[in-house]
Amino acid sequence: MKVSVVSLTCCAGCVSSLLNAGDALLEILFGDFEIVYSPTFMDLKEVPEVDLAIVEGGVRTEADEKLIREVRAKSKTLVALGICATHGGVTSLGNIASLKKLLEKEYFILDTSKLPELEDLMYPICNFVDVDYYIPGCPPMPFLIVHTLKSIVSGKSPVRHQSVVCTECHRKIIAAKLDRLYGTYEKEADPVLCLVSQGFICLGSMTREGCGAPCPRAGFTCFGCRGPPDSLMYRSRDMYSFLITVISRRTGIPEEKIKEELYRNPFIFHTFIFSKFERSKARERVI
Amino acid sequence: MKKLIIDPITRLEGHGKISIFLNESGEVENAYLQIPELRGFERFCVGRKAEDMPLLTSRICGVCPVAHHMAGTKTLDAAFNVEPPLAAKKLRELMYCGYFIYDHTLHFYYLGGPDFIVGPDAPPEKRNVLGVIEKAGLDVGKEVIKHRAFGQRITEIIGGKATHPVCGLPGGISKALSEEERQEIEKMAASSVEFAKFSLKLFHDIVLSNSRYVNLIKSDAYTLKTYYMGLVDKNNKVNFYDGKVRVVDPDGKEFLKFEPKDYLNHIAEHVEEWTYVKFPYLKKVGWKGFVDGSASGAYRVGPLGRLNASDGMATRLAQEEYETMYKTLGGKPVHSTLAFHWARLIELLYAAERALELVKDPEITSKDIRNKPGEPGEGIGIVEAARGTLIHHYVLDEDALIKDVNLIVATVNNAPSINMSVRNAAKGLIHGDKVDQGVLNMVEMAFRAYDPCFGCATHYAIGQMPLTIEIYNSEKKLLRTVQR
Repeated sequence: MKVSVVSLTCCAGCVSSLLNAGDALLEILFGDFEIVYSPTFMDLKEVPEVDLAIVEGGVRTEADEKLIREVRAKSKTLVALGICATHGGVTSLGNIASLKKLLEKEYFILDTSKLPELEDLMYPICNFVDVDYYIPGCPPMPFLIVHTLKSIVSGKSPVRHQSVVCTECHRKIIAAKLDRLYGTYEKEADPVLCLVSQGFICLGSMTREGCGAPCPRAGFTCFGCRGPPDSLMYRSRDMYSFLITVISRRTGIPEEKIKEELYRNPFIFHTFIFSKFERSKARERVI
Repeated sequence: MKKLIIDPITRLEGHGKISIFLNESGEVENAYLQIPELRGFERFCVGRKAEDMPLLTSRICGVCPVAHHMAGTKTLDAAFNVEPPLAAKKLRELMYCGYFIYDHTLHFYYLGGPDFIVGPDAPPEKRNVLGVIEKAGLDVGKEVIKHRAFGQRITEIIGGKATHPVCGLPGGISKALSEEERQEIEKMAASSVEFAKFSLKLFHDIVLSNSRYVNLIKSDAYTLKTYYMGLVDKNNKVNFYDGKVRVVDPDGKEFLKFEPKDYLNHIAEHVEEWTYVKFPYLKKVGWKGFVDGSASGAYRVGPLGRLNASDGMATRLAQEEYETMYKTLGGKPVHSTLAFHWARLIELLYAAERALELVKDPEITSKDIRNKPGEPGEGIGIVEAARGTLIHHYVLDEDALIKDVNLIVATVNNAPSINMSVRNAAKGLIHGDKVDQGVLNMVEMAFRAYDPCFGCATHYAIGQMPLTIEIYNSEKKLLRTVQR
């Protein structure tokens, strides 16, 4: 199977995560996979016709847009690898400001007429082309990528992860009686109790499973990098109300008070998904 | 005037292109490295919770997330006015050594090394890690993949996740190390020391015993006489995690030594209109354009920058190799850009030796890993990323939300010099517009030595296109396009 690995606007962390797969990676590289194109690691510069294209990163420049269209036209199956490709990722946070404001902050004397064109916003790739499989995550864990790729190679449908991170977390949920929420820096986390039950804003309850909950295991709150689970992918579901209810139940803090706190940090839930995302197309294809 | 463009330049993190301008007689007039992208981290971090900064900024780069995570965490230490317990500092440094092990391995075997091991003008389809495996043997390839994974695993054990770790908190770290985990790391660190020794031997056998390569390293096309910068410990030895910033002049004499919090007194940034990257320079010397020498404020960071700016390595084997390098290349400082590769391997050895030292420290499994943060304020944190000095600077409001952010990343520190190196290599190697891919690759080698990360440089990364060489006439009209 001929494979290309393509990077658009991103941090190269997803390809890096693929490299972390160790022995499983060797199995792929010396097995059914023939990687014929990957500018990060190889010198070949022309996009070839392939059976499978693995794309990391989203579309921020016109060059990105041109490239993703070409890659789609030249591949039988296309996998969006990582939350930048699937939902816009952290770069989509730049969508809170106009392009002019972004440039002003960092490049106040820039003459942009001499530079390549940027798109008005950061987009996930599904806004431009059809995507066969979405693997969100920042980055997706190595085992998740390898399992998915192996299924695709053998012609099977990859296993989908539809529920939330809480189902994979070892921590015990209790209905606590707290008087306020806490920042992670303010107090030490108990190693066994649910982080929300301790007053930390952990996003595990509204984030897609499939990562194995590495962050709560390391004593850190879930940051939401796998995006919403199936149940929250419908436009009618209000993610804020859902999160407020969950936090209130687990902390005993009144909903009004939690709402105030969450609205003070409006991007708390949107770190990785602050872009126009075409839910209807993605529904059955998110791994 | 004729113009050649190499786009995309390959085997690096991020996206850039090289434009080469020829004059009427076909000689190189000038060359630019352009970084055409932008993500805007410094803007969208404003208003976020300060505690999120180590997580957000790690997303600047998926190859060196640990560097940003650590710089962010140290900045929060300063902003919340809290000193972490000794055990937490040691754990952070141990994780950091794991990061250097995987990152330097990645560069030598996957990105920069293929030029030497496979050959600078070998067929492009062979000039990659698979070509390296073909030349050096499958067993070597397995060792490379294994030890890169070891570095990642060390990061994962301490940081929770290998890529984009989650452990840094103001005043400490989120999780202690268990004895079982400690033993696992000790085995991997010991094995990494052997692997680093092997990599240096490979470098000696393939590169240093080949007079063609040695001449290439010493040639004018790859030489730049600049200032050098790096973090040093109290004995002026290289340190990746902490210390003072030391700068030496092109003669190797100490020029500056300052506390991280004073960086704005010593570094300023120049903006050019043709790229999204900024050009830092030493304030005391001033910006004199893209020229080298002691009158120009351009400085270099990264492996060679650190070795030049220090008095040696703090571990035994790395110190021996440090001495060998300077003896072989004619004393300190070394100005050859291609010597970055050698310096990188010496640092790989140091990182492995240092990791082994730290993991054997009885305090490393201590549970005393957090101190209570004070009131939020302003903070500056500096670490050495694999590619060089990395500076984070945050201003917090009274609710611990971010008011302002300034980041000077490793590749940006090197940006003026990378431009000069590319220009010099082009001038030395290209004569006329009939250039083959081998020559163009040797121009790319001038920037690849720095292991540049343009993702970091623009706080943004990557977008690739096929390589095209566009040739323009003197009215800048496109005459023809050649695909490489």
